[in-house]
Amino acid sequence: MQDSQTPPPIPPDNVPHDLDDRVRHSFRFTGSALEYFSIWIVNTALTVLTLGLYSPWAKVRRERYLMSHTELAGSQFEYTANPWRIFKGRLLLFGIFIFVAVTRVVPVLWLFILFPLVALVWPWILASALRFRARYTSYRNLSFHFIGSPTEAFTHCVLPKGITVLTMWLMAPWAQCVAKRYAVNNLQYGATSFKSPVTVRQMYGAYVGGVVLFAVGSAIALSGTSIIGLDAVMNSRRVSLSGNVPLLLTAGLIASIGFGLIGCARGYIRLASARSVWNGASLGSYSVSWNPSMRRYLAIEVVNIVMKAVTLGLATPWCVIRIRRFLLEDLELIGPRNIDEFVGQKRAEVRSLGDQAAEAYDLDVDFGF
Amino acid sequence: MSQKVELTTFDARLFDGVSSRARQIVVDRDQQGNLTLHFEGSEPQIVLLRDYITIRPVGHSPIVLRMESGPEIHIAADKRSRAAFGLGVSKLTRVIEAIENRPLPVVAVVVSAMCVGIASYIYGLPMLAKAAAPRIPLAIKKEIGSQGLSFLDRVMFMPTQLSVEQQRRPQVLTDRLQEVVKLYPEPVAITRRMGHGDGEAANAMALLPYTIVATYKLVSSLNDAELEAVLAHEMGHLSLDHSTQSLVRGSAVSVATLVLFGGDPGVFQALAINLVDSKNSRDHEREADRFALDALVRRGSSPMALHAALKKISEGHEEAGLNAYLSSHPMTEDRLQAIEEFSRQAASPSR
Repeated sequence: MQDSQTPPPIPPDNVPHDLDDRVRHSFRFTGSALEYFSIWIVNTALTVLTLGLYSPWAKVRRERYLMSHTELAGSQFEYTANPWRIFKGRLLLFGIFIFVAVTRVVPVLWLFILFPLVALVWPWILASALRFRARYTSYRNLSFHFIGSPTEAFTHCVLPKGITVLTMWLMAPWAQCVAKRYAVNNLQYGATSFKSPVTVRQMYGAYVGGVVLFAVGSAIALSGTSIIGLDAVMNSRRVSLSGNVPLLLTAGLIASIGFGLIGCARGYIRLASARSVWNGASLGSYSVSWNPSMRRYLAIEVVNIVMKAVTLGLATPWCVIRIRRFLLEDLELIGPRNIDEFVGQKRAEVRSLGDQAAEAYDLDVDFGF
Repeated sequence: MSQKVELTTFDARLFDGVSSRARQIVVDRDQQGNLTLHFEGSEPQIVLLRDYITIRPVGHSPIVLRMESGPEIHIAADKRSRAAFGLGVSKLTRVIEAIENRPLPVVAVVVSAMCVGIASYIYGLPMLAKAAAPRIPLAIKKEIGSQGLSFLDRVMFMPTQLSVEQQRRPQVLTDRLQEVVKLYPEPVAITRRMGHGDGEAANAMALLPYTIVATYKLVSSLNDAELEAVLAHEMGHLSLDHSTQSLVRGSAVSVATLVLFGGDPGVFQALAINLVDSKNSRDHEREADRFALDALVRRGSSPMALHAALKKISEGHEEAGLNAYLSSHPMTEDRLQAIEEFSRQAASPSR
């Protein structure tokens, strides 16, 4: 009888593959809002019923759904994290949170011991989070890996953030560029590394666009709110809507447009920087093409916010599916027809090589899309 | 009676776990749990289903047969393949899946979650707050109280313009009430000015853990009996530790919204805290009224003094509609009726 841990004997693949035949492989998102709604609502309800204890399981089901409905060249991505590990990680985080909250009342302790401790631990947490996320994402039975070290996390993420603060945020795009390079260039599929073409100049472009939107939005919002404020002062000592109603409604509309533009500024920076990170990135003999329309993206984000507010959050699954489908429909991998050049360590070897401690933590750190 | 699974054939994809190459194969599953894998141009291989972990699909993703250190077989999920491979998963996953795939259980879970949510809101939160409030150390309450007062002094209060004798009135009346109420720590009554002109407020508030603030307009417009009644009401808040309970409730709601809405709950958090707090505040006001009435009777004062004080304070304020639900205080009319009822009972010989 066959040993239960021995892989079955797989005969060699003799079908010839033409490596020079380059094609565009499109990503596809096959999830539906209705299907995701039932997962989301059950997740939310069980999280309430268990007073939050179910949330790691909810996260795994959500991620499994989103990943397994993301398709490339006929194969789906997989999310394989164990909810118990996430649960333990969250317990530890909660403990740290309580410890910090309690010890913060003693400023000396905070300033001289805890603050340096957090600064030292933060790069380790950052690297662990990226490693965790990559390790439990796989495609065609090959895992992704993150090989960045905590030391690099310090020099690429924490230190640049500090410099950004010292330069009054003038160097924020540079810091973002360095951090994104750390996150992407240390990411591997199997044993093949990604390489991002992002430049500091592109990142400044993304930020300048966002800042212009923010400035215009602020000016419009300020003029709208000023009209409301002036009317209130002129009509009564208290803020009220007793004055000129059409004028106030117009002012409210102007202010809303302003606030909408301010909200869009953040979205602009997010998409523009993510685009410069991923569009043109390489993975072995493949390259990534991703150029989603900024106008459509901002429109979808605005509609999503309005829908969530109108439905008191019930439209969240619909919004998630919409934005994911939009972001994936433009994503393409250009290279040989058969995506079979990637090799990697087997899952068991990955586990023994990996840092066991890092597996315990699930800390989603936002590095863009 | 066990259901017999007939020999079934599926188109599948195999990934060996060493490279990203996808192999199109045909899988036969027999009743004994053997799988025969048919490769193009090679001899078929027989493997055991029990060597694989079956990963059940979420939504319409494929069924994945996974060997811990080896290959993965992906088979499209349909009724036939679910029946053939729906094995080897935890009970929890099966229950969750059964709920997700049928509308009625989804509705049942949502309704029960709403029931739990509402029950926690009505009973759980006040119980938690009542149980936790006395366990918070006095030093922390003092710190919160002094920070609260200095914040109010910065943004809302102004120095009072009362004579020294008038300024001392709230403290003198509080000391008199203290003889029957016996609070620990002993309350300190101070006066401040709040608002201008028509908007000047006649108000009093209790700050953690022993401070009572009476406004200029309140002290100058109420007589001794009325002011004593208002101070007794505020001492009720102190005695019953209402401020600490509010803090505990607010913290619990913050954590709950964080869990439900993620890292950036924003508007949901503010809304939830406001709604929870305004309802419970109204209950606290009723409790403090009751405490004050008892204290006044024990002091030998008339409970109707609180009635008169409330009427004076609420003059010129209109209350209606949505206010009844969102207000932090009960409607004055309801409070006045409750006081009249209490006075009638206190005056009746049966009491």
